[in-house]
Amino acid sequence: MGGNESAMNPWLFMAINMTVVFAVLAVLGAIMVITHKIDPTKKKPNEPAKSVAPAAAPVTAAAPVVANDEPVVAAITGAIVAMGYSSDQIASIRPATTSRNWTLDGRLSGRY
Amino acid sequence: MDAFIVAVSSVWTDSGFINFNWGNGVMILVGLLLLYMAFAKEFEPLLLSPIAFGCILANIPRNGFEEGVMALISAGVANEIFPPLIFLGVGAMTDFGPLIANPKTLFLGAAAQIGVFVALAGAMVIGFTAPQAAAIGIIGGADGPTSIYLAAKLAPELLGAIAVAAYSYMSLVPLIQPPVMKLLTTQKERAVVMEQLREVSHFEKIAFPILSTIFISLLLPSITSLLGMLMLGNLFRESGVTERLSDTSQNALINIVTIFLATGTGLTMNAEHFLTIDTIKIIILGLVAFICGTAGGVLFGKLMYMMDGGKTNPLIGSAGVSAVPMAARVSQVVGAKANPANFLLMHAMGPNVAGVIGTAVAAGTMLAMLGAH
Repeated sequence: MGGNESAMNPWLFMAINMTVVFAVLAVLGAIMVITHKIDPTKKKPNEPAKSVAPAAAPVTAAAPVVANDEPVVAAITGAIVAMGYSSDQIASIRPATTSRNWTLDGRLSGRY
Repeated sequence: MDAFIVAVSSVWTDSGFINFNWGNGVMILVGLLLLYMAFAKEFEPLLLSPIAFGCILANIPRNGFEEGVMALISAGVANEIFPPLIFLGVGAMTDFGPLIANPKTLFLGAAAQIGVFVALAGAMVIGFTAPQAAAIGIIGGADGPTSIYLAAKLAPELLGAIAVAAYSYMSLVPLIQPPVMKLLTTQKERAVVMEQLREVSHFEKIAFPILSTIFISLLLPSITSLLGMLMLGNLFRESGVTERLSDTSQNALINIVTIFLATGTGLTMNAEHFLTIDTIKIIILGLVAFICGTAGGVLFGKLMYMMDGGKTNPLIGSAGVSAVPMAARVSQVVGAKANPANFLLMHAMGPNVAGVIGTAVAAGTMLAMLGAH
């Protein structure tokens, strides 16, 4: 076993080792910061604004569906009125397009 | 009749009873005590039970462990085979996300290594050689595989005592750390609620293990197998395309290797090597190392608390000792007692995994300084 003089002095040995541990972990910290900065997959600050636009698209696409579904709307209105409510109390009847990802919606879609 | 007596006599003279001594008896009692702690008190039963049973087996005279599977298990411990394999599983189970999201917690992992060096200096002062002191000091890192790895390289004669001290104190983390944490912090500091961590991208989680392995291995080549396996396991976990390898590493493989490593550790506890004054010194130094490591992490946490205007809860510093994830759980429990709405677990995982890396780096540095490879 080799060894050297600094390894024989406990306090010097301790000081050198602690310094090396801190330095190595500091470099790892720097690697993390740099990786975060150069991350090509990182979301750009203006990206949320972009994502709003596509989100609006299904609504506009869904609108004609509602317009062409007048018999369905009439049937739902009739059913609600039959339960004792007035048609004035119905605020809106909308297709469940916003929850397209949900399993129930998927099952319902499968019926048509 | 004569033939019967000869046969019985032959069985008797070949039995372990003939060579059984008081030392074996004491060590078997130690093994039984450890089994009791594992099964009745549930102190790390997955580790402690094979260690305890290995201890009992090692103290059966004429057990023939010089060859066969027990010899292979002992060789796996002595030749640094099991620790890197354990690290593979640890890597596959570890999420570096909290550390990457908050890199400053790396310093808590570094600060907690003070326990390693205090014990090292203490061991040298009381007469251990520098390599022995380095192997003893690493107990303060609360990292069983690294302790065994370093002891096998620097002080194989102390391997049993060091391994037992390391694993015993790891299992006692929930008892040792809280008093130190409470002693060094105020109620106000313990109640600090930390900000939610940012989301870490897939790219960062892949890049970190690769880049850190290359850098640390180039700097400290003697720990390449240990660190490399840790990061390989983590890559299996994070790549998203090696699910089967990740699953095997963090379940089947680590369980198998744990059985071998812990049993092999127990096998090092034979009376001849274990019942010495040095063992008592190592047990005491290990406790000092553990307490100092916890204190170092908490005190550095207090420093960060003062420097960042009270955003860091100093309790996460104690997780800088690398007992993953027990030390982080202790931070969570102590923090929740001070403020029931406090969830420190993810924040404490940052210094906790930094502690694993820090202990490996400390081991590599000592190997480099002592000229061992």
